[in-house]
Amino acid sequence: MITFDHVTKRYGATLALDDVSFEVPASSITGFLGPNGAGKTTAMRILLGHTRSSGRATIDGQQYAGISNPAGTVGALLDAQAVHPGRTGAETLAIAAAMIGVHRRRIGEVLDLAGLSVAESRRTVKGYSLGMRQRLGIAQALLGAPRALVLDEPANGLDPQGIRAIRDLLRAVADDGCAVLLSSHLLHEVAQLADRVVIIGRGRILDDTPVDHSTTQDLESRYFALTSTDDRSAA
Amino acid sequence: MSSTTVTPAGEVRAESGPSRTVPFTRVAAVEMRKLADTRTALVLLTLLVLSAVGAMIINAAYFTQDVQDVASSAALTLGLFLPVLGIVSVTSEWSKRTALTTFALEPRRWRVLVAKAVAGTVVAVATSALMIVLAYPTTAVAAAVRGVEADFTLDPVALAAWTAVSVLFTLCGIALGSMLLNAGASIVVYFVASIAWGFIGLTGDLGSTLAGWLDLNVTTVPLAGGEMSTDAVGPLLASTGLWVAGPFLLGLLRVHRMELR
Repeated sequence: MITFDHVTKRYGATLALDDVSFEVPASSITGFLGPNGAGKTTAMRILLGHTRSSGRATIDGQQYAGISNPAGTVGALLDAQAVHPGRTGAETLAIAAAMIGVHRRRIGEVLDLAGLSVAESRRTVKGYSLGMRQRLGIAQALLGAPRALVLDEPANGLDPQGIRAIRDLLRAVADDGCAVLLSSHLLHEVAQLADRVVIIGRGRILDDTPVDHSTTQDLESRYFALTSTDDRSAA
Repeated sequence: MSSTTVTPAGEVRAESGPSRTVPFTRVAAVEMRKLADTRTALVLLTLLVLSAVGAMIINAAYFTQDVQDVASSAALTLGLFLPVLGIVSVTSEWSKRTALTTFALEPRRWRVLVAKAVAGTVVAVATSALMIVLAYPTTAVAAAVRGVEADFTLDPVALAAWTAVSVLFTLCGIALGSMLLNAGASIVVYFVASIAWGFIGLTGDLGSTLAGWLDLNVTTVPLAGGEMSTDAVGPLLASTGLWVAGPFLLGLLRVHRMELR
C-alpha cells in the first residue's frame, strides 16, 4: 500500500504540494490526474526519496530511504529519458538486476512483460524511440517483482498497441496484489483502467473517488469542472 | 506481446526474488561494470592502456634500460587518464541522468560514491600492475634493439608506492567529480590546478613552500620515486586532504542533500 500522509512541499514561495493525503491500496490501480504543474510528478518524486518534504510518504508503512533493497518493494518509472544512451537496453536491465540481486532470467521475463524484443534489447538506447524507452523503463520497474508500482505517464509515446499492452499488464500486476499509482493525461484510458481516481490541482487534492466504469464521460466532466474551478480561484 | 503471456509478478518473486539487502560488494561490482559497459568507457580504458604502453616504449627506446624506470614512465599518461576516468565515472550519472535509477536502487547515496572510489582504486591498481608486467618485455626488446644490457631489478616497495600514487590521482578525480558534478568543470579544475601550482611554486619562498605542501604533483614525487621520508609525510597528507579527502567529503554531503532531477 502506498500512503501520502499530510505531505507538503514548498519551492521558495511556491507551494508545490499542499497537505496532500491519499492512499493506494494493494491489489488496485489508482489514476493520478491533474493539469501540468499540478504536483503529480513532485508527489511521486517525494515518494521515491528524490526530494524531501514535510509529512510522510510511505510504501507499506516505510519511507523509501529506509527500505533495504527498495526495488523489491516498489518499482518506479518517473522519466523514461533518464537512461544512459550508450548502454544497450539489456545492459541497463542487467546492471539493475545485479544491484537488486535477481536472477538474469528475470531480464527476459520483464522484457517480455513490457513488450521489448530480445533483438531490440541488444541495441543501444541511443536509437530507442520514446515508446521503446517507456517499455524499457517499465521492464526495469518490474525487475524486483515489487508490491507497489509508481508510473509517471507511462503511456507517453506509446502506440495504441503499447497502450493496450500496458493496460493489460497493469491489470494483471494489480490483480496479483500490487498497489499501482499511475499518472496520466489520458482520461478515457484511466477511466477504463483505474479503480480509484485522485485529481490534483495546484498542489491540492481536489477529488479522491472510486471509478464508476460504466460512465467514462462522468470522469471527464468532473475533471474539467474541478481543475477549471481551481484555475479561476487562483486568477 | 499479448495479454495472455503476462506473468504475474508474484509468481516470479517466489522463485527468484530480490535479496533482502544490497551488500556493499554488489554496489562496488556494479560500479566496476559501469566503467566498461559503454563504447565511450571502453575507448577511455583503451586510451589509458595504449598511452601508458606508448610512454613506456618511448622511454625504453631512448632514455633507459632499467625496468623500474620504464614502468614508472607509465605514470606520465596514467596521471592524465585515470583522473578523467574517475571524474567521468561520477559526473556521467548527472549528465546522462542515470543518478535517478542509481539512487533509486541504492538510496544510501554515500554507498554509491564510496563504491565508485573502490571501483576506481581497483582500475588504478590493475592498470599499474599491468604496466609493471608489460615493462619487462618492453625493456627487454628495447635493450636488445639498442644493443645495451637491460637492468631487470625491481624494488617492490617502490612500485607499490608508485601504484599508490596512481590510486591517489584517480581518487582525486572522483572527489572533484563528486564535489562539482560536472565533467568539464572538474577536468578544468584538475588540469588548471596542476599548471597554476607550477607558477605559484616559482613566485618566491612563500609560493614554493605552499606548492611543496599543497600541490599533489609535488608532494607525491617522493612516494612515486620510492624515496618516502618522514619529512614528506606532512605535505603528502596536507595535499591529499585538500585534493582528495576534502572534495570527496564535500561531494558526499552535496549528493546526500541534493534533489535528484
